[in-house]
Amino acid sequence: MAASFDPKQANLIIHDEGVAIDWAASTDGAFLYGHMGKGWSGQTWAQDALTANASFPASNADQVEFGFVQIARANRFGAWYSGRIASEGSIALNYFAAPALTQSILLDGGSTPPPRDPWYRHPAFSLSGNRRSAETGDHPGLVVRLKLKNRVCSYVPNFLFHVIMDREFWTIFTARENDGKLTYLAYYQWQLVYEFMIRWNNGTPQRFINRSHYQLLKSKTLGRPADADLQAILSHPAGQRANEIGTRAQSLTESGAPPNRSDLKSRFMNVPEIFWA
Amino acid sequence: MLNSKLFKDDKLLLACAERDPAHITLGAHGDHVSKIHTALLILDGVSVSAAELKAKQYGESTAEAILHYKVKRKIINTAYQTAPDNIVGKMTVKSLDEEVAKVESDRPTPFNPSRHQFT
Repeated sequence: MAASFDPKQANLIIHDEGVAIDWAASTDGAFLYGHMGKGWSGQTWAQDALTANASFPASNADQVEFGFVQIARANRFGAWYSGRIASEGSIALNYFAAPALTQSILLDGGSTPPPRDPWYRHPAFSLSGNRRSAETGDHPGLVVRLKLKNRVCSYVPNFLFHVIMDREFWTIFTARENDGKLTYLAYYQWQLVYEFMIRWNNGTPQRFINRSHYQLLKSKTLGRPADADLQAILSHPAGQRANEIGTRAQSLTESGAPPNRSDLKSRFMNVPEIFWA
Repeated sequence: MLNSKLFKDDKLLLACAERDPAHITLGAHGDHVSKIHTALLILDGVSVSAAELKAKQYGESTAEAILHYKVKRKIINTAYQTAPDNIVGKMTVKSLDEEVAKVESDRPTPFNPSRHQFT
């Protein structure tokens, strides 16, 4: 017989103090890494920037797992590259569009190796008094190439000058019974927007404008998220994870054609005069 | 005759490929110089100074980049030279053109997603 879980008994505490967003270039100058908080060490994403702890009364601890399911909504991801001069053209990348990306609601989770469905990470529980506890954390990153070769301008390198990546996340404290039945107990919803404009000095990318922001859209909210576009994946949270799907979308975009990738013979109007110095 | 898309329709570069007096030297400026700047970036990853780039000018940094390009490829007119100089003459413009044409005709390097970690 399935257990009954009352979401009102769920504790959920979110830690997002000090979240800050910036970027760094890879040591070989090939990639820009966007990071939030302490998430980027210069070599790898090292530390969660946003964490949460949750707990629930553990009356039937051997029959149920508690952990976090995380759903991501891919809103927008574009990168724009410019030649040094107008005749060296420009490139526009639109990652979150078909055929590169055919679904915008994604089951989130690590990829090396992927956790068991439906968990965002392999659940690790602790028992505190009569309550089972679970933890989660995230530091969604951004990886884009700093240079791309323009196909319609003799493959001359174009240089990143603007990137936007907008994602929303639902992080859901969840009970999973041994028969697979899920109960969504409580969640929080948050948004991370990376937006950087880059200028170049002596061939080196420089900070120019950072309009990135993080926002906790909903703090602890009991029960199952009600958003209509999430219902299908909430009912069947399984399959390929956001990391894998997103990496493939990036690959398909960079090697693809319109509407994902457009190579142009002239520059965009909004390339600043000081873009290349 | 020049074959690359970058160079083939440029009258001054075509003239340079045909006639010694049309060599391109320090102080030259115009779209043909811009195309040389672009070729240097494509072939050697070398960017001339921003000022010369914007002014489409064959200045000191352009001359230095061309000299480097010629030394690397041993472009010397043995009839009267023992070492490369820093001007774009017949041999240099043809070399630049051939290399750019090859880049234009090659398939782009296949994308390697291993460095991407969408997180």
